[in-house]
Amino acid sequence: MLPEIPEGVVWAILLLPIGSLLTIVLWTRPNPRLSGYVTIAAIAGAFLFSLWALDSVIASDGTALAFRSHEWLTVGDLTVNVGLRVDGLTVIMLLVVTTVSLLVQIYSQGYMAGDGGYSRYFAYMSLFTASMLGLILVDSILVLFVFWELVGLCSYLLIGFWFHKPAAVRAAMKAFLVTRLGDVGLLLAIILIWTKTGTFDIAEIQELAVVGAISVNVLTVFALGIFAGAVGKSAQFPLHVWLPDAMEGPTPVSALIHAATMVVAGVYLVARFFPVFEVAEDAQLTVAVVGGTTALLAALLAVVATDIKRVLAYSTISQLGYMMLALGLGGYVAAIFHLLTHAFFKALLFLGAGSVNHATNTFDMRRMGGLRKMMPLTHATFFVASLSLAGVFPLAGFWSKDEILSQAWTEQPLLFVVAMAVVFLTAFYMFRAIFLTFEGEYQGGEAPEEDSHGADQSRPHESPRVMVVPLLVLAVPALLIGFANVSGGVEHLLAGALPLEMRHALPEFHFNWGIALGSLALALAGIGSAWLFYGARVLSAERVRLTLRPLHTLLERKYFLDDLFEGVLVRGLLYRVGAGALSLFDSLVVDRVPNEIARGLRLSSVGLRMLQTGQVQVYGAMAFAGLLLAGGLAFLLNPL
Amino acid sequence: MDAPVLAASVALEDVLIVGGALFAIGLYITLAKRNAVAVLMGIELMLNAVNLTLIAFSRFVDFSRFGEGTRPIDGHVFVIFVITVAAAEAAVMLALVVAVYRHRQTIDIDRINVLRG
Amino acid sequence: MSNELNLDYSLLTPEFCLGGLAALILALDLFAPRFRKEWLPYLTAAGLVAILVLSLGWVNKESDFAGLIFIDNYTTFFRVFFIASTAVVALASAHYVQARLSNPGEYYALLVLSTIGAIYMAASRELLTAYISLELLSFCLYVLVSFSTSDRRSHEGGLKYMLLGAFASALLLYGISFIYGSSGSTFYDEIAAAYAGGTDGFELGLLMGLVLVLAGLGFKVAAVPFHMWTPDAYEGAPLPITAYLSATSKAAGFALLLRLFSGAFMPVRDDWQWMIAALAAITMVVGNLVALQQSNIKRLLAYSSIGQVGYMLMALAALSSASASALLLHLSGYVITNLAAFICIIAWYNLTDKEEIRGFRGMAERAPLLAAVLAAALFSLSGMPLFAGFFTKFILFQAVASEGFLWLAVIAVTMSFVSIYYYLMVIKEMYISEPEEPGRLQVPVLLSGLAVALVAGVFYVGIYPRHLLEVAEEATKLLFA
Repeated sequence: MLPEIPEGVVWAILLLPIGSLLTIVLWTRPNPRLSGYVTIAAIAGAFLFSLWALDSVIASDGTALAFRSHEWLTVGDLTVNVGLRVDGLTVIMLLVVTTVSLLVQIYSQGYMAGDGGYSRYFAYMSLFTASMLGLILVDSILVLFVFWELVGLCSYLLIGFWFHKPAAVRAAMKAFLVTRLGDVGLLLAIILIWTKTGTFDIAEIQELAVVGAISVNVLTVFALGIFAGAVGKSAQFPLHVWLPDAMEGPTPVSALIHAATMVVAGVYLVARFFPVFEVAEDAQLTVAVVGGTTALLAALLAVVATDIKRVLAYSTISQLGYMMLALGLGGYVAAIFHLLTHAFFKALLFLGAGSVNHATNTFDMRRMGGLRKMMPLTHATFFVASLSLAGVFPLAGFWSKDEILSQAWTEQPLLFVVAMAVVFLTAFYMFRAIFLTFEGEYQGGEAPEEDSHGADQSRPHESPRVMVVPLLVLAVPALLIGFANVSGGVEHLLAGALPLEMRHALPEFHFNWGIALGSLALALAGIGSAWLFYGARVLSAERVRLTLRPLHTLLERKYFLDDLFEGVLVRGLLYRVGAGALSLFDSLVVDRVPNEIARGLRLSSVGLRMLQTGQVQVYGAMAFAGLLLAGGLAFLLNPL
Repeated sequence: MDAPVLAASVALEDVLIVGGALFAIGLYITLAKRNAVAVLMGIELMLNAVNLTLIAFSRFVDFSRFGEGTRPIDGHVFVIFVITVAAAEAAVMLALVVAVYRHRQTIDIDRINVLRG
Repeated sequence: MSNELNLDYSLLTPEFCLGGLAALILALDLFAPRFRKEWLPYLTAAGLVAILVLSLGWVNKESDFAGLIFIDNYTTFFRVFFIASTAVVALASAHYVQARLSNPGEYYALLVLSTIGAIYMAASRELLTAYISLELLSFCLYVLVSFSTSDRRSHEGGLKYMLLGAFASALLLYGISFIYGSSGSTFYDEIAAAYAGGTDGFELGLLMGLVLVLAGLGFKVAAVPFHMWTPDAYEGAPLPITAYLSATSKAAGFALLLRLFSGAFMPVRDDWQWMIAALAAITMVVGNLVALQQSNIKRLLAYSSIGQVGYMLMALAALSSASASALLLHLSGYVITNLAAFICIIAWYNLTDKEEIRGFRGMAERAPLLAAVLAAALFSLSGMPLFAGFFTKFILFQAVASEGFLWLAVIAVTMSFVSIYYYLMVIKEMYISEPEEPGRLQVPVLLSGLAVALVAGVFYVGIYPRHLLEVAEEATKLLFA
């Protein structure tokens, strides 16, 4: 048994990746290999320390370790403290982030080999890992927001990593802007809670909420603000549009940021403020409904996607919706447990997709096929992860999904039906991907680009060892981590993170044979139908597509949400208030909106700008009008 | 008030109204005339309206709280400074107008509108 | 009014030195033909730094000159602030002035003289003194904006700036005359005392005075709807002067406003609070929205600065000691950030003659350091954490919200989200688009050094704002004593 972890060591978890970032920037930049090693070493250190933290928290029954908060600055009565909060929830997140990050870095050495921006890549990755660790370690919501924005910035930098690709740049921008839209809500929530309580301390806010010191209305607005931030970051409907496009980034980035860590930050945030949501029931119901909707809509989209990474992206959105659904139904433990299992198998799936891409130079599943024999290890691990995601007994995904399902069963029958439908769809689209990618005949892939990082083989073969080993390592938790909560270990840890008053109110989890068997049957049915369509080809997907043409179009155009966002919201709303041509979106949507409408809007939009005529007396007259208005109001408001 | 008889027949309001009218005329000229020099004259007119107002206040306001018999001359001092600043302003402005004229052969300020938007 | 005036001229030493420096620059330019003109900016900067050190001698001292000019921590803060930013602008002008402007002596002398006006705007506690200082600063700026003889936009910008500035001065003076009439004095403390005793019978004069003063000063700080000179003057002015306009002239306006409203108008707060709140709201909205469509970097930053003025006015509406120190902090962070951005733009313009946003294509390839600094500055302006913009804004919004103006804070947060669009547009051009011409550019060490120093300041304020905040608190403490 290790002694309890000292505060300095916890700080070291955060500082190690920052150290590697500085080392790369200041020293090893010209030597890419070294940059990779430095990053891996730093994150490995963070991983080991995280294990130590886990040990200490297990010893403390999941309650927060007693670290003092350090005063950082004081303005009048505004005090900002910086401190660490290490409890059951934190260590689970720590473990997820450091493990996945470590394996992804190792994998990246193979995937990014020969890329011109190798050092830059590892510098960004270090910064990201540091920010993500900061996000889960701090005890103040304000500092959390700082790291929250930083992970967003890193995501922006990494999605746009290949900035010579216009698509990547657009995707990066879209991701940044859409997530920041949610952050407006989060920032306002922070300002609101401070004006009402005068504190940023998370534990204190939880405590105040639980004992009823804050009015329910304020809490509801606060919770909705928090959730707005989470919706952006965790790609929930209707702000999910950025995540599929974010797949333009390097695949290890997708695995780390857009599957296992950053996108679950929203789930983490809602879980962190779970006591607040328990009090603000309206907000909690909103979380459940949004989560359920997202889970279903994204799963449907995954069924029609032809790009393997996009299938995985929609699958991620859908699973994140699942976690939100659980949180909204009070299934705090179920949500985080699913977060834990999902992180491993989804990272594995992404890395597998990267490995496939490494061999074929394409992400288009229609150009793949027959890779099972050429890439046996990739296939095996991908298969295991898919089974796990589909929720097949006894893999990890089965256990966590089962908890969510039983939670839904007891709380909300309607949402339970939705969740069950998603189980079927998940199994279907994952095995559709497997059959298209690994079975049948090889469809030729794509010729490597000149600046591609792929090897220049004519025939695909297994990826180098540095890429395959992380796959194998990740397969272990994807298989086994589900057992972590069979005896309630994870639950015990997580319960310790809640305020005392709530710990005992947590719903008891009972293994429900009916649900377990039912969901297993649905999963197998999904796999079976995928086999009928894409494996044995007994049924023709083409014929179904023709019969259901309207539905298919709806899905193919992603429910027209992109058009809605860019066409109506941006063009309509911003233009109408006079904002005018955002050249950013011009390139994206000009072809979609009929030219006539665009021109009409543009003309009407110039509004405010037209006033700036260049004629100085118009300026003076405007000012004088403003003056008269102010004067008039002044006299109206102050009857003499 | 120990004001002379003649002045007493003119009330504060009267002077303020004249000042206000003068200011309004200046404002109109400033916003309506197209010749830059005329605009400058409008501004001078506005400043003189201000001077009139200041003098009026200085003459009529009740200063008794500063002590019996004291009558600070702040208003008058202010006027002197405003006149001085106005002179400097005219100088700078005329110099600028000349510079613009050299470039464009016009001082019609409606036509000086390259910068806009 | 006391009869024993304190006429201790030594209190004004830094300003005498500034005047002397300006005279020395002019004299060297005129009478020393063998003096190398390219040394002028360095001489100016060196002199300014020396005076800056000198003015630190008044830290924590409190005194006044004839009741007109107060030398306290507030003044010292702005002395240091203005002298430092003038020094930066002088250095940043070095290459630009040499290559593009004639009469460098007058240029630097006017720059130094305008600093005196800015300092006294912050220091004066009497309306006439404040007005004269304001005009001193404005006149220097009118000339500086129209300083370029080769660019026809320069004269036009200058003429417009001057016409509207004079117009605003007339409004301001008319307002002052009503304040004087309704309170019987031009000294801030006496005005406050008079209003505290009730405004019965002179409500009308007071209101007219407030509206006109606000309009006049609104012009100077570029608050909507009195902002329309800003983009034209920014675009027309020589680039370093645009930087100077966005830094010193704005800060000086707020220094004056803060001292005036906290010193003289506090007792009639109810009469003006809503006016400034409305002004702040409309300024934030218009500034940020119009910025979305700009294609010239100077105009873009002009509108972005108008948006920033909206945030700062918010602090004035919610006037309290917390919001005043937040305002000073934000002002400092903003000026450092903006100067960093402008240095990059100046350096880029010197090398490529481009000031359209399109012209920044491929900056990351041709001048990576400049692009990185500019990107950092723009991220800071948009309020990203780690950069100065986030914390200064956050503390400002926080202070405003806790004074009961939550709705203003909501608008502000929303608008700073909108602002990300146009900053990202610039960053996109720098990093993504292919450069129009190939080849690395050789950036002068002076400019890259300045840029790096300023961006270090941006990070310092963003990560550890404590020291600056304490200084700002110390400086504003007296205003609410």
